[in-house]
Amino acid sequence: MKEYKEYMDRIRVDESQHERFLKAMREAESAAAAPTQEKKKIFRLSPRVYRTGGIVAAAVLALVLLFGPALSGRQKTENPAGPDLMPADSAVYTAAPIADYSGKNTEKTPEAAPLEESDQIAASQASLQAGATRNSSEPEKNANQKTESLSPMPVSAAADFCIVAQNTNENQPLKTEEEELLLEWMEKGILKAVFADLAEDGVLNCLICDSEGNSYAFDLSAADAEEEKAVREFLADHGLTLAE
Amino acid sequence: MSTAEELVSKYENMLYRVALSHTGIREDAEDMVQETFLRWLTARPEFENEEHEKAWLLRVIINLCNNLVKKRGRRGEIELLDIYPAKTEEEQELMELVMKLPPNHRDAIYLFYYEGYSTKEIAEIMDAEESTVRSWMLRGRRQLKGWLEDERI
Repeated sequence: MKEYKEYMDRIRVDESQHERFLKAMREAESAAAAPTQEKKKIFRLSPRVYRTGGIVAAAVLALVLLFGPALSGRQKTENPAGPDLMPADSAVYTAAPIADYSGKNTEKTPEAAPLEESDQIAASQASLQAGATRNSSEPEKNANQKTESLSPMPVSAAADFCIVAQNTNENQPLKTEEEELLLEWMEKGILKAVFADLAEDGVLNCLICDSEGNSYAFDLSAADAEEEKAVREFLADHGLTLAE
Repeated sequence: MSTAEELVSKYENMLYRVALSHTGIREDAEDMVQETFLRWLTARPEFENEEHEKAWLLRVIINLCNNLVKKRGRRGEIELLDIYPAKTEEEQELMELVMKLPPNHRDAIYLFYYEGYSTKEIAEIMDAEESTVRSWMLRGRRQLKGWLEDERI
């Protein structure tokens, strides 16, 4: 990368370009400082924008309060304790119970207790929150999943000993430590080769292939000195010599 | 907070390098630098420190360049080396290959190796996941290595 840095060092703005940038900035600054018709127009428009925004926000809130429970797909049940907020035969009230949205209860519960209006609003908010939590926690959950170490398995004939890094699950984010470790090993020359086809958010698994075309998978999600030692021992057991 | 003139003097070279290596065309690079400064002037953002200011400018220029390249459909790979000729054969070879990389890979490599940003910071500047940036860099380096090996065989 020395050549790269040296080359990039030479890319510099010359005097005439510098003057052009300064001139453009001065002109723009003086134009901004001048009281223009455009600025007055924007100023006059602002209160209207706020009013319109307020009306839209109020309308959205009203819609959410009215139709939020329906949109959240809550099941309508009979309410012996009070009057129904929606007609009893309303089709939109026939979906799954709230608990479904938290991902904890996947069974429909037609016997679910009736809800008061305030409960419905709170439940609607809760179901929205549960949905958000579920969405945000899923990648984390996936990230925490460890892939199992695999037993030897056949791969296409590998001419030489090599390590293959593979994505086994596109939903699992690539772990920084794994990649760092592989890169470090590559730089040290511990690995003869790494074939990686990393999806942008793919998990990195490590497949070590021997000259007979057998491969051995390692889970590098908790890669550390121990893991490195284990790989070294494994390779030694198989009569493979590491480049140092 | 920097004045307009201070800002130009402080960041014009950095922004020009990014824009030129991204677009490959001098006029486009100049336009992008100027547009970035004008965006700053219009927004007048409050920055926590100089690093924050620099990262903001980098983010703006990378976005502007991405939009321009998308609109144009292709970059002027050759022109960069015409404007700034390489001094050695190795340099020429390397820069030709660097310019063949996809813009995202090139930007990540520039920010990492030249500007000294960490992958986390690059992810913030480029509005991407850190793992994505690492993947771009890994692929970029591997591609460069592969090409260089091919050429030297």
